[in-house]
Formats: sequence, structure tokens, C-alpha cells
Amino acid sequence: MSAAATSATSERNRRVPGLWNALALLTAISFAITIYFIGTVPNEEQMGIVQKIFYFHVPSAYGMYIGFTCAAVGGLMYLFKRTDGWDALSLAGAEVGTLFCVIVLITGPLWGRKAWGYYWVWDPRLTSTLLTGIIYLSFLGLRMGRAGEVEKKFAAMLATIGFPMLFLVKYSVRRWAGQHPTVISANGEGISAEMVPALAASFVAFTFLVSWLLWTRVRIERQRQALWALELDLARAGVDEEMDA
Amino acid sequence: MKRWWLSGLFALALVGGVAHAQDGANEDATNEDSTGEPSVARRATGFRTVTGPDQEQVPGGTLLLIAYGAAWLLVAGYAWRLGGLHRDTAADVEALRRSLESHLAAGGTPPAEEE
Repeated sequence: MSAAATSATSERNRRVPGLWNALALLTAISFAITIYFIGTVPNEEQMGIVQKIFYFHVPSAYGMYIGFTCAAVGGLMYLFKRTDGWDALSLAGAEVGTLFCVIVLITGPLWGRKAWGYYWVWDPRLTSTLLTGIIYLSFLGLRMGRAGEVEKKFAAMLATIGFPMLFLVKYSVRRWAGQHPTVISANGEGISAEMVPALAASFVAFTFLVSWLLWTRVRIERQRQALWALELDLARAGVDEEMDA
Repeated sequence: MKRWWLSGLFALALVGGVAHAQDGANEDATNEDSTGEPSVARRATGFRTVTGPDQEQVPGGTLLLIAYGAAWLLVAGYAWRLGGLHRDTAADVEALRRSLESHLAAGGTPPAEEE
């Protein structure tokens, strides 16, 4: 990347697009609506108020799926194209996916404490979710700091290999049963009509939040890539010595 | 005479209270627990640990607050980290650009235009 191109990329990344601001506003408004719906929806008849964890737990799992899918797509495309844009998408997806995976793994056991009597059980879905989280955590471990080409390639492979785990998480309940509820799956009995607006609003809010976080992280990573390219250009021009002096 | 009446009422209340308490105790003694034995009889003859989860009341509201609090904290923490990363990177880019400009102004070699 030339100095002029680097400068242009940096300038482009520094500008905050109106759509980005609009998305941030939409996220805030949709979360306010979601919290209103969650506050007004009646409690579940057997579990009581703790069932309301469901309205954040399930959309967080959905956010995890989106994040890890972006990581896998970005990783796979990076392996083919070797362009910085795909690498940025892969990294952003892994970070956002891991964030929501951690939320899933915290909120789920808190519900389980009330519903099952214990925080954790080695159920197929819980175990496969934990394993998926560990795979993408390894990805992030590889990408800490300034990654070289080898780290980027290895992380891209890890993101691609981790992708099938998402199907394992999804279908583990159907294949091996287990204790995890299957309320909104094909085998489930569904939720009461009063619960639908809260869940729907939460899905919308989480869609905006995940999109906003992914977009922000990709922009920052593109800016960092521009920075490193500029540093390389300056090193070639011999500016490094002047700066050190 | 008045004292006799009061003593009689007191005695009746006492007998009634004891009789009522005895009824409750008999009822407890005949209630069966999960092992099929009368609760009082089993408690009198031995102590056993629970099998499976405790039958305690779990505070659902507290668990809900912890879950929502943790989710918000994690998202807010990540957004905070992104903000810091953005500021640091923008500052580094700006510092490097200034270095480049001063290098060029001093008659230095311009960086290569091609990779």
C-alpha cells in the first residue's frame, strides 16, 4: 500500500459515516423498546421471573452464530484472496462471536440454577457451545498484538475449521437430546403469545447491536492495517531512524 | 368469684392450645417425606444428606439481575475497548503522518509508491 493510498484509507476510516451513527441510534432505541417489553411481559408459570433470562440468552446465541459465521467466511476468503479486508472481517467476527458466546455461557447457567437446580451439566448443547467458544478464543489468542502472515493464515484456518461446530451446537439437542430446552425448535411447544413481542424485539435489538459492533471493529482493524502499512512505508523511506532520534 | 371465672377461662385456653398443638404434631408425625417414612420419626432416628439438588428456594430475581447485569457489562466493556483501540490507532496514524510530512519537508526521500 502506497503512502497516498494509506493516507486515503486512514482518512476514509476516520470519517464517521451517517449510517454508522443511525445504526447506533437504532440499537439504543430498539434496546429501550426491548427492555419495556421484557418488563411488561408476564412471568412464566413454573419458573417465574428467572425465565426472562431467555429474552437475552437466545438472541445472544444468535449474535454468537452471526459473529462466528463472519469469522469463518472472512477466514476462508482470506485464505483464498489474502486481502486485509477479509482478515479484518474474520477478526471482528471472532471477537464479537466470542463476546456473545461468553454472554450465552453466563446467562444460561444462571437460568439453569433455578430451572435445573445446578449451574452446569455436560449436556451436548452446553458442551458443544463451550468447545466452540474455546476454538474462537484460541483464534483471538493467535491474533493478539500485531499478527504476521503465518498467524493470520493459521487463525483463518482455525476460524474455518470452527465453523462446522456451529451446526453441532444447533443440532446437538436433536441428535443427542440432553437437558437443554427446545422450546422454539421444531420439536418444541413454543412460547405464549404474550412472550412473542419481547423475544421479537430482542432479536431486532441484537441484530442492530451485532451489526454495529462488527462494523465498528472492522473499521478499527482497517485503520490499524493502514497504520501498519504507513509505518512500513516510512521505514522504507528511512523515517524510522529520524523518529527514534 | 371473679377470680374463679378468670382461672377457668385461662385453664380452658391452655388446654385448648395444648390440644391444638398436639393435633399439629400428630399431623406432622403422620406426614410422609420422600423416603416414605413419617417426617418426625425419620428426623428422630437419623440424619441423611439430600440426593440430587437441594430443595431450597432459589432467588430468581437475583439470578435475573446478575444475568442482565453481566450481559450489559460485557457489551459495555467491549464497546469501551473498541473506543480505546480507535483513539490509540487514530493518534498513532496522526503521529506517523506528521513524521512523514516533516521528513519530506526536510528534503527526505518520499516513500515508495508501489508495494
